[in-house]
Amino acid sequence: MGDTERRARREAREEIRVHLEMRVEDLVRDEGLPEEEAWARARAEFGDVEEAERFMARRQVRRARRERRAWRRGAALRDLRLALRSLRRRPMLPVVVVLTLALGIGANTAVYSLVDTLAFRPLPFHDGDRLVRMRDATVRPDGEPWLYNTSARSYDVLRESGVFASITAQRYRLLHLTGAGEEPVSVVGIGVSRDWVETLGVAPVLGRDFTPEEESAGRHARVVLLGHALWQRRYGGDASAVGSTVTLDGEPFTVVGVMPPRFNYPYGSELWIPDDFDPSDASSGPNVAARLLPGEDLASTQRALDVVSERAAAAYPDTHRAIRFVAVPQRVDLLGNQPRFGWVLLAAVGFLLLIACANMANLLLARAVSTRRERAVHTALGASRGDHARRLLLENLTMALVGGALGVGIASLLLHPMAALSIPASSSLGAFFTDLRLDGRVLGFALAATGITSLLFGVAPALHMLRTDPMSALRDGGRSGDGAGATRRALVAAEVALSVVLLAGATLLVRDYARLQATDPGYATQDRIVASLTFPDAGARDPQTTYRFMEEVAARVAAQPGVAGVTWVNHLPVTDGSVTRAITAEGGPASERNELVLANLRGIGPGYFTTMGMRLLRGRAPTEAEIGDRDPVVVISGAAAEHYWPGEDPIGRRVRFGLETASSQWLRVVGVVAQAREEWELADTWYVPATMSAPERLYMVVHTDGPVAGVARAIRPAVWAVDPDQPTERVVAFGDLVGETYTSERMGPLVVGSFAGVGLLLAVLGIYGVVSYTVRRSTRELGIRMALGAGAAGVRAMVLRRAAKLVGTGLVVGVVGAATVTRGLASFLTGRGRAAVHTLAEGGRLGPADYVLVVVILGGVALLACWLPARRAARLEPATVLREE
Amino acid sequence: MTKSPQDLLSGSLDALVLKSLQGEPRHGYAISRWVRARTEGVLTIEDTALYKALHRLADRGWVRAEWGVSERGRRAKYYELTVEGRRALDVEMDVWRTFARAVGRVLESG
Repeated sequence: MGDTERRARREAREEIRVHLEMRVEDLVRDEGLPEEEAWARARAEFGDVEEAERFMARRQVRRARRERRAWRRGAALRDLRLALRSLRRRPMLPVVVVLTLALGIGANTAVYSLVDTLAFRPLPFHDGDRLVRMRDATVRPDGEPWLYNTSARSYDVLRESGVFASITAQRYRLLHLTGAGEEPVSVVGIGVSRDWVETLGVAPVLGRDFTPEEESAGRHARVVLLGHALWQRRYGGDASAVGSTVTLDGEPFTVVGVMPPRFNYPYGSELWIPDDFDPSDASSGPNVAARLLPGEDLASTQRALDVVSERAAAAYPDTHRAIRFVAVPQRVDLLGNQPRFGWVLLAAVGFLLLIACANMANLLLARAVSTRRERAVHTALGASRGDHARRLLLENLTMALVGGALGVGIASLLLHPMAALSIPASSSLGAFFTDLRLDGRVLGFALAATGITSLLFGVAPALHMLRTDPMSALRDGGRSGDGAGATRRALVAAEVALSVVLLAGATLLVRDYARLQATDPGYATQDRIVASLTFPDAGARDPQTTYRFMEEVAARVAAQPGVAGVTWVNHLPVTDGSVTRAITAEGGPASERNELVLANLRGIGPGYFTTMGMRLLRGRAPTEAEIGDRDPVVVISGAAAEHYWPGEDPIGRRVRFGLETASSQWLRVVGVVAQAREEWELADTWYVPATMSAPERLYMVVHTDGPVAGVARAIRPAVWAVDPDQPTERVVAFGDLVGETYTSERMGPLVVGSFAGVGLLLAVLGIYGVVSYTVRRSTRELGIRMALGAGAAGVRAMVLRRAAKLVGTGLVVGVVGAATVTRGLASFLTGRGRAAVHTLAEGGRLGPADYVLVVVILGGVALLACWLPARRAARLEPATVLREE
Repeated sequence: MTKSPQDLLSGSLDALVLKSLQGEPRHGYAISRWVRARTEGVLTIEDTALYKALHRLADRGWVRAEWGVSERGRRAKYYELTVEGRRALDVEMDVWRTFARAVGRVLESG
């Protein structure tokens, strides 16, 4: 029997006893019965006492339990109401906490959505993790492996080998689209081989996929799948597009389906058609994707591929001798190191949140201490320590939930800018990887982050609550020291340390970006306009025709006022390029080594180097006549010259495509141009006459020495005047184009820099808060010291000294931490990747000068934060202070 | 078989107890005495039944129990009507009156 039951039994017994006693009294008084008889009568009248006792006790216990339950329910609601009231009474602090939390959670959630999209979101293919991109690997001049697009021959070999469950090739076909009642336009088509549907497994949102028969039929199939964007643009999203006919390059094609939105793989793809791939074609170009065999993994597949590579080398020595087939998981191929950059960013913003948590914990701790008096009164009225802890936890939880909810709202606003830190929207599946959203996983992260942070900043004060005795607050007038001091100091030190790490990371990025900006790219980016022209029927077109066309257009543009020069080229340093992978340099050590060497190829028009502001180191540029007549001349870049004939004069020497045994034409070196900054880590560049090939796209570069807008406006009309059917794709300032390419480089330091700045601000606020609070609490001690002779300066020095010890500890820990982190960072981010990734990996580690800078900044700012409270301490009047007891 | 007035009491015990508390709070023995007095000795409540009834009424929330000091200077458990109890009493009285009138009419008729 429990306590409650025992008590109930006792009460029932007493109640009955009292009843009987009174009855006995009455019987004795009114009827004159002797006591013993009266008792017997009374008991008999009463009935079964035992049974009554049991009944009453049982009922009582049940009632008591019910009441207790109801009270507890009420208690929870009451606590909540008390918590809300307490928060409302002094709203400053809760508002600060909620806002800080909202910003912190918001930033973290936004960055996580980037990380989630890059690292976790399933690719838009069927079972994308089993999909690989095939690359032909060869060796760069500096010994590093170079992965490039495969060739149709490689694709054929790989298909026959049976290493994959299915394999498909895709290549670019620039097509002239007419029909659908709109003006003709050139579109980027993708010609696909057999098994494209089976390999990629992307289901159209409208209509159907290609059938295996259609795929096998290749060019004869005349069916097309429209891209989603194209479908919206040309058909307004009308479902009747499926089944209609369009004309591509003059042939009628039937639209069989529409692809899903945001599916631009490979990059720029606007529609898909079945195509033929000639196995004898060994030039690189097709994008080959393959699906691993069930049960095989990447390692086993690569081993099988090595065997196939050797067989191919034996079968086709002049094209495949030093080529190794490499399978790269699609995700890695598409994203490179970008996901790791995302993780770094997440760590940075996570640090920020930790700093903010430390601040909030400190603030709430101070608040918990300062409300000791009130709580002591509550305790006297019956509240237990558990009650207080629970109420405090409820307060903090409320703030956390509101902050978290606001944070999600803020995150939704940050998604758009965050997408700029993903891969460029125009790259393969760029549309997919810039489509950041707040889906289940991301919201789950927000919830977890809110939970953890609320635990972090809610736990310290609640623990303090449980540990300290509330009554002592009333007893000693609330003046004695509180055990929270050590926790507070530790939190500030941690804040400082985290700030150091953030600052160090930001310094790294900023410094390297500055270095990037400062280096001369080797070509002029100012005062140049770029217009891109596409030539859909390039295959059939005679290069001389294109040349004459460009000559005329250039002449018209040059006639405009404010134009200093016009030229054209098939690839700019900041656009994708074409690379040859087998060259021979006559008489140079490279050819003696008989290895495959890579070089960028640029087909240039007359006056290219002057118009682009590139400096010739030796020799001269090709003349107009040489270009027009397609003479076998070439200008090579400085790095190529050093590479092919180190220390010698390359003018007059000869180079050509292909290996020794190839039959291509020898080109004579007529000049050497200063090395320009190339986008793709390959420095060796050849500049040959544009007439050597019939490109699908040309970039016209116009050098202006007057107002740019007028010239830009004149370009399209100039093109139309020569050929009204010639599409002009884009007219843009070259500087803007370059800027687009380096967006990530720019954003990286900007983002991390601002994180570091905010972290610094938070740390400063934290230090200020703690120091001023400590000063306020120790006014008595300071007053005594001053009364005993310590001057104002002495007191100030004391306060500063104490603060310095605190900040100093944080700085030391922070510097050690930063050194470790940045070293780890360098190795974490090695490998191929865009943008800021490069800078972090190659920019190297921080030097002592950087750390000194960081320590000075942080230390100086911290000193400032302490100055005010120290000054306040020095101004104390000992008499006033001591009197205020 | 003969039924005494006492036999008819059990069904209406709750109503009697409620009525007894209408004027003022009483302890168990006082309620018992009150019933005996008001019925001029015709009806006597068996004490066990009384206390059981009191607890049942407390479960329903119609009476509330509290320890106090009796007129004789002793600790005693006092019962008093709650708001719901008062309402319940009014309902009981209406019901009883209607019932009594109906039965009386039947039995008294010729």
